[in-house]
Amino acid sequence: MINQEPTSRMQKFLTMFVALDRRWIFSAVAILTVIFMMLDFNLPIQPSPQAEGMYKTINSVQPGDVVHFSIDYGPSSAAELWPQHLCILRDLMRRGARVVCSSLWADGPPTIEKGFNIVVAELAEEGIKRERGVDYVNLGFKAGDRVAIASLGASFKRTFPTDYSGRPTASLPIMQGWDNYNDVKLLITIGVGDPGAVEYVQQAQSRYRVTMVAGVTAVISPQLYPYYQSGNLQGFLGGLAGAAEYEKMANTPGRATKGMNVQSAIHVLIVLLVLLGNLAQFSLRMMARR
Amino acid sequence: MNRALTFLQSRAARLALAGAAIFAGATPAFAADETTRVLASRLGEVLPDLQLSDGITSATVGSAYRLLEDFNVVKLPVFVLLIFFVIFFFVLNRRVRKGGEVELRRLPGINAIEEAIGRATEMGRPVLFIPGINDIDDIQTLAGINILAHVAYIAAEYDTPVIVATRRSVVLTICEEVVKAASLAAGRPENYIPNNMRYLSDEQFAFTAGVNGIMLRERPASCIYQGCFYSESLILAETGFVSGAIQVAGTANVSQLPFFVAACDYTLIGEEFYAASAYLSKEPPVLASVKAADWLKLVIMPVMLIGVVAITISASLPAGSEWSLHLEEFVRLLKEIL
Amino acid sequence: MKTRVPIFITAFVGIFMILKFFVVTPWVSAVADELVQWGVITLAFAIILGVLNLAKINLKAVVERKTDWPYKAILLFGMVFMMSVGGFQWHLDMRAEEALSALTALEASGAAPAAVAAAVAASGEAQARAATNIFNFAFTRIYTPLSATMYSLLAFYVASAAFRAFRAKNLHATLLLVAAVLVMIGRVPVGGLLQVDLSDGTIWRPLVWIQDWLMTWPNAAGQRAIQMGAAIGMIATGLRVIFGIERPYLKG
Repeated sequence: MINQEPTSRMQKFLTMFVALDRRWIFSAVAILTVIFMMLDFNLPIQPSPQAEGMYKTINSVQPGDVVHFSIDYGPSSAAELWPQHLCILRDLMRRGARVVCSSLWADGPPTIEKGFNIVVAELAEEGIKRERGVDYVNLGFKAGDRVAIASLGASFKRTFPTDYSGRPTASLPIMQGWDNYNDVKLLITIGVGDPGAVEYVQQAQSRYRVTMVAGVTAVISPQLYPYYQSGNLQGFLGGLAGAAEYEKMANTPGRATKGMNVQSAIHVLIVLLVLLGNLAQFSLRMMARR
Repeated sequence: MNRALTFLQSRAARLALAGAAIFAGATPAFAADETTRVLASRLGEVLPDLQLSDGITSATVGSAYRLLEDFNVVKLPVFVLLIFFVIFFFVLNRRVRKGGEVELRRLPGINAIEEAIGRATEMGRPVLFIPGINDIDDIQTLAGINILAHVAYIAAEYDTPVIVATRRSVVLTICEEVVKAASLAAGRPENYIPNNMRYLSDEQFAFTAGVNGIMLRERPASCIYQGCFYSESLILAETGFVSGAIQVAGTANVSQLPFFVAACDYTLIGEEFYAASAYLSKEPPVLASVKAADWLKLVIMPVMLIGVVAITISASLPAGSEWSLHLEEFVRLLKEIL
Repeated sequence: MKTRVPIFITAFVGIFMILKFFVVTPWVSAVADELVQWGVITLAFAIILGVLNLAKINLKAVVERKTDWPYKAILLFGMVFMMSVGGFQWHLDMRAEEALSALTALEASGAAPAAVAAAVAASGEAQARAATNIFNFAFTRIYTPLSATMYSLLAFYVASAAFRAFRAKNLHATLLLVAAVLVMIGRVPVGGLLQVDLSDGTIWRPLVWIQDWLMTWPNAAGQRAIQMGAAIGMIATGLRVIFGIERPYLKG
């Protein structure tokens, strides 16, 4: 009936709305994003059970525990994953864990450096001193995806003979007394796709029974529910919303909490557009029947 | 006694013993070194110097145990399934070769591929094919290339050019060979146009931008995406929609399926994507392999069902009751074995 | 022969890799790892084929002034530019490494403090040059924003695709529409604004609860089914390729 010649003004309008030019939708998304980024208010955030699981697991880490923190994303997806990365790193370093960072993505190591620099400076302001090579290390990038993960199960030092700045890992104080997943207290991955959380579950968690949590983009998060239910993952964060939930629990509202205003507004806009589109189509069908 | 000895020397008994040995030695539930050692030594104790057949004694079985130490016990279920699959494949292949029919359910997405090429022919415009963005070591890329062979063949029959855009150089080289071979097989070698085989960039979004450029400038009438895709899936499919192309997608990347379903005309989901080349080629061994995969599911489903029923009954019984504990133990054992 | 040799190689390597998956014998792992390394090296060298293909097609279009040739010229310029600055970066990295080695050698040999100080300064300068150059600028100021821009297009495309796709045409489409709307609202804080005070004093957020239920149960069940089906399909496709049942690239 949409192809029929519209007769009334109402019909013309509805026909136009049903086939709305996407540039109008793009404009509405852009305008709402800008407006809600400027507004200063915070919506109440309700943490999901998955985010609660993640928070509890990370906060069970004791000073001196070895945590393997794999940063498997590049600059393109930083908008979604950087807030997760930052708030988790802050928690780990504040708790005094030995944070061992590495990446399966070639453009991951600069992001790891950026995270360490920010958090170490923040903690220094609070009077907490964290030293490179003693409390934290950036092992850099390792190619090979699944093979690289499996290789970590055998030996971290052999997989990464040097750290990102070229120092031999075997001589670093942080690397003493442990070498594989049998001695790792917690495995965390922040990832955008393949290789990422699913590959770590298959190659590291299920093989070595290491406790694991993950942070992923919103698109990937539906894939992690089966692993959460089966107990492979103790918790996970999905996209910016996940980071906001974590910030809420850690009581450190930041970029993700702020981003929730924009995300809420855009979700509401999409839902309204979808509902109105359906209403318009339904009305046109009714008019055609008459 | 004689009968018992005859039985022990029989082929069936040897197979049963070997099976028991493999199960005991290789199953995680029994794989603790201590248990394996005890079982292995007991076989020698209980049946010292037993002649199972010519030259095979209980000691030989003991040596077989040591060989099992090299087997990755965690992967035993996968190994068993693989053996099942190979057996099913040979049985079905034999049946198909003898003229037996293999019935497969209809997939609208497969017909859509042929329709999409037909439409491009009617409009006198090319077909754009993308075999995913991963390298040749990804099985999805191989599945996509298998589909490309059929797309290129049909397109050559219809005298319609095919543009192939790849993100990896090796994939490009193989696609060139595939399209060339398909055009030749269709009797139209001139349908292979080297300039239509394009490597764009190894960088994900540079590749995406390049494909979008092809869609908007060269206006292919049909876009066929078959392979492994990530965040670029929606960007490609939306641009394809804007260019007015018929779009058929196929991927086993679950996270990208919603985008393809929303923006494309047809989508081959998961195993449909892997089976597509069998549907298109209709070659007996390929069809047999698809049917063997279905039979394999029939093996897996009862095990899943038993697990689900056991855990459901266990959860509905009063906590700590005898039966509940038995069922929990059974489910734990099942999980351990699998 | 032309067909049999590649099929034999594929089958041999494929079966060996399957064997490696199931056994933990060190020599099998060693040979398989070596084969993987060969594969990685071959794939890395194949980039030359891609670059040649890109140069051939686009250079020809630019020279012949074909339609849209300026785009192709920009593409070629970009490629040559990034390759050049990459080469320059490699040169700077080598210089920095050499300066560091020289400094270490001087320190070890117990050279005069002045010479060591000069070497420290030279090394520092080389490190600084390697760290701040045009390659880093191109990476952080051109490549990163362009990648992020392409990725963020998704936000716009999701909106337009959802508006077009979520139409209640039949029962299945209506179910998809309802589930999508509930998840979209329940997933963001605005969904938590709808609250019900229960008699026991707790607060129930129906939209959040429904969203969580949809994601935890129907979604996880669907995900599992698709993943299992795909895994079996993957086994079937893999074996077809390994045993040469499907070999479209060898038909020519």
